[in-house]
Amino acid sequence: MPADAAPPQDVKRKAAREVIDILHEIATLLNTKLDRQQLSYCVSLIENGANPEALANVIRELREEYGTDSVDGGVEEPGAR
Amino acid sequence: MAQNAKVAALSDELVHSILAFDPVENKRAYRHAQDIAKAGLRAHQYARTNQFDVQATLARLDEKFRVLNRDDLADALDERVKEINDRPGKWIPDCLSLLLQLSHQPTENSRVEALELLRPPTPPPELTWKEILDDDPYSDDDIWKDIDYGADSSGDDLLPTKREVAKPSPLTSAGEDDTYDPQACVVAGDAAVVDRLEEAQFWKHEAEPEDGKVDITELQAVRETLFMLAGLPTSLFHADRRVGPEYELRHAMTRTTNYLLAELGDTGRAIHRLRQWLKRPSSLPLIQTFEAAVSKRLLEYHQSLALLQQKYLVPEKPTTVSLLELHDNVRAFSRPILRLAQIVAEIEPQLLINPFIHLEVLFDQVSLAQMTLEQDVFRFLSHIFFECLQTYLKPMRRWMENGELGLNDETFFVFENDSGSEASFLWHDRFVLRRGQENKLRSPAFFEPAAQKIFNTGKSVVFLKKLGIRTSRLPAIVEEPRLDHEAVCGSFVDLPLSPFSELFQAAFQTWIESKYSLAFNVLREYIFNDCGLIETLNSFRIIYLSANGSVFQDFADAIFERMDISQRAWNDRFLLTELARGIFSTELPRSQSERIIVRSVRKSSKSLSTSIKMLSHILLDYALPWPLMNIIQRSSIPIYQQLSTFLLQCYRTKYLLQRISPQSVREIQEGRLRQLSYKLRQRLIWLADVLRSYLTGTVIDPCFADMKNAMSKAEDIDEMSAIHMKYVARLQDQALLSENLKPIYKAILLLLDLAASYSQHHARREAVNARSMRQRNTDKKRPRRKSILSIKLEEDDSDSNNVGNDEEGAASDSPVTHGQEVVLEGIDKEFRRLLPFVTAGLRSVGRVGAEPVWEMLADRLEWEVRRD
Repeated sequence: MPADAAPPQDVKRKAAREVIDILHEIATLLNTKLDRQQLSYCVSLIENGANPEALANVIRELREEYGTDSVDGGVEEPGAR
Repeated sequence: MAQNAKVAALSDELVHSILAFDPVENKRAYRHAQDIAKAGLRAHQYARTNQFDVQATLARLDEKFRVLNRDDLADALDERVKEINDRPGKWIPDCLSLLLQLSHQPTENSRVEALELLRPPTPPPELTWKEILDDDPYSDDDIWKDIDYGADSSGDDLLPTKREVAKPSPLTSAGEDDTYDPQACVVAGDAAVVDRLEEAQFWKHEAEPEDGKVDITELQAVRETLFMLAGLPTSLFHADRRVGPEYELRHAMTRTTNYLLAELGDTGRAIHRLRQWLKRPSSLPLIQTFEAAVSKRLLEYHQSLALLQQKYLVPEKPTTVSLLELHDNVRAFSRPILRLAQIVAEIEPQLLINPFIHLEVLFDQVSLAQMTLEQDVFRFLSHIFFECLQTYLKPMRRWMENGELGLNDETFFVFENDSGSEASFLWHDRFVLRRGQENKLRSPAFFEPAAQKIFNTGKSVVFLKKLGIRTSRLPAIVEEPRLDHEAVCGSFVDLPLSPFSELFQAAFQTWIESKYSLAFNVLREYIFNDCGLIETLNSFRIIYLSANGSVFQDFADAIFERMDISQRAWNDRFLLTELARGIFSTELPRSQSERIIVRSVRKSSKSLSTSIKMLSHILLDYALPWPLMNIIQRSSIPIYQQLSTFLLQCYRTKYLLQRISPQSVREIQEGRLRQLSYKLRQRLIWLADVLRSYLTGTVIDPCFADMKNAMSKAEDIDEMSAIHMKYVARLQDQALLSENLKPIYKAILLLLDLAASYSQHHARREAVNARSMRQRNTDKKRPRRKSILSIKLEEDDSDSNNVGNDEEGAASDSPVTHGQEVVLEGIDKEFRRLLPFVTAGLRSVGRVGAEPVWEMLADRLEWEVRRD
């Protein structure tokens, strides 16, 4: 029985990981400068009810004040659409 | 609540990951960031994300990429969006919207390749049992075999190394065959030989019971003696070569054998001492050569001993074994080496102090051997002597050919005193002879006659090198004659007839000549021709010693005029130099007159401005080239200058007196005064003339002629400089400038000074007279501005006319004339005091000293006095 319970959880975890992977790829393609860890935090926040636009603003503000030039150089600018 | 806590925690994490700095360090900033996050996330005014909006945005983005030629980006994005849309997820649109909002210029900046980096590495394939079993199967059949416990035990590991260390040969033989027969190793000896051997070892024999001595045969005694002489330890002789008393010859008397053996023992002892000395090597090359020579002789001695032994060992014909014969033979050929041993024993303690003593002693002994007609000893020692001499000659040769000295060469007698000395002192100061105690030269005694020449040769080579002339480039260096026995003593069998020391000196002189003459000739040529020694001496004579009187007179006159005109700046050296050069260039060639420099010495002049002492303030100088400065040394220039000053002083006296014309004396009213004036004038002029002619004619000319003569015959620089020094010293003496004649010189200067004071007084008197005359003229006639000279002329013309006036003048002048008379009488008295003093002084010195010229001067000065 535990053997049966484990796979669904495993499967679920795997699915979630895949989703994060794809999102990370999209994030890279769109040049969002989010690394995997940050992205997972963001997704968790969103799942817990944070508003994406608000979150985006917060991230931008923080980056502007305290951010590093870790991924790319340059000051954070409003996202291209 | 839990939700909020979760959100708070997550936002904290997010902040932490975004922040660039460590939140621990900067808590305030961190808190600020947290506040931002909280405030931002709490906002509720945002609308919910519209899923279709998101998809539309994505489509637009895709189109934009394709338009901007980023197809790769567009394809990748499309793929992933499709993928993600296949997944179920409530929040996916929100995430996509977030990403869309955070995206930053993807067309320029994104790279598809970046995706590759994202892809996690493929996890390694899971290990399956099958794979493991394929690698390492469970078992095969061997597993059931019995284990051989002894096969791999570690106890066998040491043995192989041990086997390598042990010697291979016995083991191989042992290895081949385990046992061998030890008996086979023993070789049976020859019993007869053993007996004979035992017999020959006489020292092992037992002593005779009666007298406690062992009998030995004569042959054994001979052999023992020969061994002892060769330096080997023997039983017959003790270590100090005394005969051991326990052996005796059966057939001879003890006393005679002991005597013989004792004599042989003495010989052996002497030679042994020689060997001991050889064992202590020395570090000086001279002594090493000596040791080498000695050891070579010792070797020869051993050879002769070996020949003797051979005679007894392998006799060609039957010989009798006789200790007496041995003794005679040994004594014959040991004589030279015994003499050598004696020499070494004598000089051994002194070798450290005096490294040449062996050369000296050998030299003496060779001479002695020649005298005592010991031919073998003579030849023997002379060979050794010449071998040792070669080593000594090496530094000498180097010095004489190249002018170089070895560093710290204690054994050579020339050493460099002052390597930094100027070129003008090169000859005299740079190299010095090394002297030991009592000022003896540090070299073997027999070199001393030649030492000076050797020294000079080296110095000339150094001198030439400095001039840039290399003697090696000069042609035809005479080949160096050999200095060895055959060359010196001839190759006769007999002793040479002349004494050895004579032969040696002669040969050595030839050797030196071969090196010396070439360098010397070149140097002499150079000095005479290129440097112009004689010309320079001539120029000196012209400049300093008034060789050409008219030129010197011109020069003197020019100086005196300057002295009289401007009291202060008359001795300006630049003007005087120009003056001198100009005047002397009429006589000397231009190159030489350019070398004249006039220097003025600053002294406080308390004396009269017209005093002749002022002339000692200017000095003439001549710039010499440095090779000539080695000969005409700097110390002799002051004497030249003093002489020149003296001459100038005589000229000055004459000049001053000549300006007082007889007419001006004549017009002195007072008869007695006039007579006194005349007398003084005449005497002072006479004195000046006598002095001048004495200096130039009696002193300078003969000395110079002598010096020139000697100089042209001079051979080396030493001689030249000595000649010059002597010349200058003689000049000084004869011109009364030396120390012991100082009082006389001072007296003469005082006499000359009298002339100066007389002329000054006369000039003053004339001025006074002229003034009074002028006053009288202005009383009688209208004032006319005339120079004193014209007034004098007028006076002369009107002398007879103004007799009447003279009376008046005489009356008004009487106190003045009285003063003049006193002065003139004072001068006269001084003159009459000093002149006899000078004459007497000259006579006394002339009697004591050697210069006849003083007597001559005294005679001439007295000539006047006698008539007085």
